[in-house]
Amino acid sequence: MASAGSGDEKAAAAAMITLISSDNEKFEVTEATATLSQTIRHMIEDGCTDGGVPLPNVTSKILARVIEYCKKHATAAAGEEGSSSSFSDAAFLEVDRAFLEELEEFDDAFLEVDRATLFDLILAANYLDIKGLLNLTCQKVADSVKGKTPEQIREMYNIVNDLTPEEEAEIRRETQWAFE
Amino acid sequence: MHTRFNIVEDNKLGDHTNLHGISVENKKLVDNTRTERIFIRTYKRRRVPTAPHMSEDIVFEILVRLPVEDLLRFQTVCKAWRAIITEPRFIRMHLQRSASKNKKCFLIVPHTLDSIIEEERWPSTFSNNIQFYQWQENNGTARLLLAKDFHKDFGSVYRMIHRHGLVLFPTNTKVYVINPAIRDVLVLPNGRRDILLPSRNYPQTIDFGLDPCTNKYKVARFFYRAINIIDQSCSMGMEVLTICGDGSDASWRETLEDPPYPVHGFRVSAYFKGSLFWIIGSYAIKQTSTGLLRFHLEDESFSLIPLPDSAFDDELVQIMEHGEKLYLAQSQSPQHLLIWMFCDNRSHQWIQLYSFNILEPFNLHSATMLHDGLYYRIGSKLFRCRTESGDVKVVACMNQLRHGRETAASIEDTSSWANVHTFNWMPYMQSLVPVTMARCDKASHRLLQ
Repeated sequence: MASAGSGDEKAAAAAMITLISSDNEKFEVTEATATLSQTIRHMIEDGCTDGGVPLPNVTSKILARVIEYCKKHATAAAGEEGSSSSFSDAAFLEVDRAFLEELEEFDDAFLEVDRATLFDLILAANYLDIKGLLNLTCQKVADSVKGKTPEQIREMYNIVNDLTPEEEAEIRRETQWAFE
Repeated sequence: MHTRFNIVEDNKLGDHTNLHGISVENKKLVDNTRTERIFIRTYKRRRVPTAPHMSEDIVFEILVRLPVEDLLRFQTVCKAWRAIITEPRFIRMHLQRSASKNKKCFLIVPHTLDSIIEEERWPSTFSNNIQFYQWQENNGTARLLLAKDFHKDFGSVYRMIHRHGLVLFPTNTKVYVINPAIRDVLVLPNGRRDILLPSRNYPQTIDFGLDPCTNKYKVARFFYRAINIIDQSCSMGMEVLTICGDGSDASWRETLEDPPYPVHGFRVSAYFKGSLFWIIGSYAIKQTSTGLLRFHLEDESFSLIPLPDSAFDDELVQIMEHGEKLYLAQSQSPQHLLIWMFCDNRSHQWIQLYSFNILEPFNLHSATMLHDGLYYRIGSKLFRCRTESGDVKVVACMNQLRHGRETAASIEDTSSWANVHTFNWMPYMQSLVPVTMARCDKASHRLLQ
């Protein structure tokens, strides 16, 4: 990992990583973008990214969206666009309010996807270990189930109720107020 | 065990359309066409390590972001969800997330009197109907979480202590540990011995906190072994009770080491980094030293922390905890307050953080620290003094706060707060931490059989 102001800065900014989706599509991204993923960061640290990083669990459709997210947030992490390729908390704090608002708008728009895509994004964020994206997408799902009844949840996610009627009745009895 | 979270996937669709910006109605149409072509994947629990999809981890990540009430309800979705929600690791993670949110949420417990006896300094006629309300700053309404009738079990009530969604409720007879959000109430057994039996003149010196080593909550209680009135000396002991939350009987046991200094029940205590802290001193006893008594919950040992040099009069200090930090408020003069923060290093240093001018004097015991300021109470008014600017503002007037039971459509007003004798109020966050036999465990045991 290059740190701001180091002599390697330029080299790091220029370093490109190739990500390969499950359907064999290749994506060229900067190291700064790629390292928002802890999984890829570790691969870079271990020096095993030559010849591209195969991501057999991520389709090109989802990978494109994930990269879109990482690009935007890598910029945020670097302070302002083009200034630095490294991630640091200090730089992050300097980002002005307007940019944070823009980032929030970006996140809101980014989440305007159908449920299946949203879950694919969660899986990808989990697999690639991108904390911000995992938080964003999981919170979106959490918000969408808030206040719902168990029946509505089962219907939304095709979940089979495998509790016996007695078990269900017992849980309901113990937490009756949560159902009112 | 199978079927965890069957997500509808559309891998066969091969459709790369970006749904960005499509209206809601259009989206519905897309979803409908999808359902005809879906295939449902069944994810197996843990046994199939090669299936990284909608694993338990993902369901965990989603559920951990939900409030307690939703989680109680979602236990009935399926066995897998129930297993996740009742898992101790989940309960801990859920708590950590709630704590990090910095929501300014309070628990308000009004206490009324059944009758008034004129000459009593502290009433012995407190109502045994106790209501716990949750209130969020800037919200006009306090929401009833739990109403419980203790059926004449006690006469006097004392200051409650909140930690991790649990409330320690000492009375002149029993001590309770209550999780109001999941309506779980533990009655602690009587302490083993005390020459000063708890009476309304001598509240018990008691507190609790998480032992980071075992991840269990321990209640610690001081008791007097002997008091010598003539030379004003005493010897104290301490006993500890571990809350297992698994139905096993909790019982008190004495610590191997006795507290080296006396502490009395009117003192406010604090929890910080796996230890409980008390300001030492006892009104009946000649005082030999000042400082904080630290009780390490893990190894049940004691140590002494000196107060800041200028805080020589321990009557004018108060300790407060917030977000893994320990603060000390020191009343320098009736108009001036200093806030210190404790640095847990070898030299036990205190750093002076803020210095405020006080407009109206208040009881330091009512003060508590939150991320944006010092909160304190004068009568039924709750004040906030902003740490950055020193600006003081009334954030609530408790006896005027709308309060009641929440129903689907509205708030149903409960009893009036006009005749409240005193309010117990404290910063609060909901948690799933069980104190009696976890209801969940009871059922899962049965499920496993």
